[in-house]
Amino acid sequence: MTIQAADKITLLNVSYDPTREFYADFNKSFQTFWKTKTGQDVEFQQSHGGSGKQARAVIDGLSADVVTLALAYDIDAIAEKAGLLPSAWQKRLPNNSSPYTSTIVFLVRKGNPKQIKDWNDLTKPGVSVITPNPKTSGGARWNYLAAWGYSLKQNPNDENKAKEFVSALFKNVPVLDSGARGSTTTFVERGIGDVLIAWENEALLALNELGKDKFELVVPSYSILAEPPVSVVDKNAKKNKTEEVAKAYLDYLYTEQGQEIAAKHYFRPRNEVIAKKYAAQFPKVTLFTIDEVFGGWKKAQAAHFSDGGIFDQIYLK
Amino acid sequence: MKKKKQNKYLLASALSLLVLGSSFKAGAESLESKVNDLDQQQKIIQRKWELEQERLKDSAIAVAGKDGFAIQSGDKSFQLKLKGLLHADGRFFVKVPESNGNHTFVARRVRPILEGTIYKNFDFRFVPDFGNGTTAIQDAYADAKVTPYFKLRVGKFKVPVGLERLQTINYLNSVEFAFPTSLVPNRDVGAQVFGDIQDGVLSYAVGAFNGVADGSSGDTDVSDAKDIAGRLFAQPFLKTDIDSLKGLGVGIGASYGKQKAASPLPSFRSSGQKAFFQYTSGATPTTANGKIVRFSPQAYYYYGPFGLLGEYVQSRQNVLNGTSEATLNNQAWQVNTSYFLTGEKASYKGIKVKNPLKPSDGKWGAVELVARYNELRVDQAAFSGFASATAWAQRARAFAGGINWHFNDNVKWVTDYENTTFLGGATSGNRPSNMWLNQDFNLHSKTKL
Repeated sequence: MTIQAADKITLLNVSYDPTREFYADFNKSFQTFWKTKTGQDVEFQQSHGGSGKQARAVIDGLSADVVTLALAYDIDAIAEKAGLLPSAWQKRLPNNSSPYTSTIVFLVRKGNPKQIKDWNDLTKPGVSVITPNPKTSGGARWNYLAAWGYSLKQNPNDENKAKEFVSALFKNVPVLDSGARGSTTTFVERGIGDVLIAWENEALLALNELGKDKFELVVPSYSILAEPPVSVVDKNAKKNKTEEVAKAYLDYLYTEQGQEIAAKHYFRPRNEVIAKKYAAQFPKVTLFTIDEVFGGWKKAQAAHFSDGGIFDQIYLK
Repeated sequence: MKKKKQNKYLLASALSLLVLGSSFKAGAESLESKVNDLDQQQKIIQRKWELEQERLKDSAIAVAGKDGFAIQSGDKSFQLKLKGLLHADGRFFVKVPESNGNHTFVARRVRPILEGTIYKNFDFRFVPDFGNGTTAIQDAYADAKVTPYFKLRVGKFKVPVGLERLQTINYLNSVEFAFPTSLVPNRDVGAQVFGDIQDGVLSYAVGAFNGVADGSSGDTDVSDAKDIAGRLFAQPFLKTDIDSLKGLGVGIGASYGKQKAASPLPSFRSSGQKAFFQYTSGATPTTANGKIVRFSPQAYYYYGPFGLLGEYVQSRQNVLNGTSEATLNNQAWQVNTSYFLTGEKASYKGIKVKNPLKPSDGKWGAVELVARYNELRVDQAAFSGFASATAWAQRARAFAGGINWHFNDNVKWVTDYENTTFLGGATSGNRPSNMWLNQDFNLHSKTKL
């Protein structure tokens, strides 16, 4: 490996909302790894926000060396609209370039006063549901699709009932934040709503960091396997002369050290050894994939989240 | 029988209490539920407001109102401000024709003003002027704001020498400038670095310019030599607790340059806009002949409704006529004092009218009294072959009194009466005094973002 002459290099990681704490820890570990391996100091700049919004920022010129977003569609958009990386980017790293996974669960207030146990409880009158805006948040799109998938399981192949179900759910949403972290703030800090639909890692973080005496985790009977992907943004990395360190950074996510840090921050690790070690902290839930139910992100995006798509129809009417 | 009645009574009472209790409990639960609902509604409204504020940070905003007209990006990194300035004057001479002037109305300054910011740290300003029936570019410059104490300006702008010249024209308390402004450069093309230290406790500006005649503006240079101009201004008590001294400012401005024969020489006018001095022109004209040095100590003091501004300018210029050379030392000074009868706080940088004009509410704006003495002395040596002693005066002294009616922060009516007396400038004795009443309707818009 050739190392750049500069003894310090800066890497910009543009990520989605609930990865702040994870990448803060991961970056420290990688700094030590990289310094030991190459003698070079690496500094990190982190940018977090709604995944769709972050992708747009990169398309509009934010010079990200790597992107670690909530869903593959957002990185596809960077490849297609800005041409900053090849369209086959997802094949460059194991597990479709998703080094960790997550799912969608519920966080409710202590004692679960509205007795929320599964997705169908979220559509009941008087239940206030907190979820971000699927037009701007990757997490929100996972939430939405998880609810849709649940409805299809209850009423096989009945898209109309699924539409009615998700429509009823969004009628119970009083505030649409632009990102998942904003929704957590709305629910946890502002005290709004009866239930937060959240990334599992975000819900576990809120539960463990902010107090089990205030919240409870509710695991629905059926949820979606969320696979947040990562990629080097080739053209930016080349321009910034960070190609090697950026690639090593993402490879490090797949190492045991990287996987363990992910698990500590409640992301489900891909590495079997680490997954077994942390199995107890992840509730068992039946998961479906986006490919199985929606035929992949491109189809899901076009049908549900494009302008005039199903979400617009149910939310704007 | 009595015991039976008692039991019935007790039973009825117990039942009543039970019913009352459960009714009370149901009422309390209903009330608690309503309180919780209201609490949620209030929190939701508050959160929506927070989210709207966040959204606005990323959204373009159009502003139109009493604070001006502008559009800007959510983070204010990009701004475009539309302003304007109109000075509509009426000039009436006393003792016409002895005062050598005609009564006239004049659109003295007609300036649409475009200002903006791009990428947060770069400002620009563009000001054409259609006043007096002519077209000119007054300002056309860009600033790079590196830090508050180090900024770079390039383009056409005011040369940093004279105190009154550097005051924003809207804030001048007289219709016309005083004589010292006739001896300092107006606008010129060049580049300067400038900045404020400690929020203006100390301000500096220094730059290189093409070079212009006293009191004049220019757009190109007729020689390779450049003028250097600079100014240092201090408000030593600005950030102290001594209120009576916070409005004290003292400074010094200066310029140095070399001008050649093709460079124009100045002529001087009274504030009634009547020329009272100019150098010899024609077949054997007087021309610039090298060095020109200006020097201007200056100060102001503002405390409550009271304002005092004074400056002195000395302009030494080498001139040539035929084979005769001379270094002429022209001088001017002024003292300007003002007082707000309505209690507004006087300032070099404009005022805030306490009760903008609205007669229906009994509000009549602000009233300011102004008195000014100013004088310009042309070097006696100028009349030894460089200017006509019988046509042009060697000295002009003017005393002015005025009353300004500020309708609001943007509109004012300025009325000055000025009497200028001359020394020389006639075939025998002195040229007649000029006395005139100057009316100025002054409307300017500004934009606060």
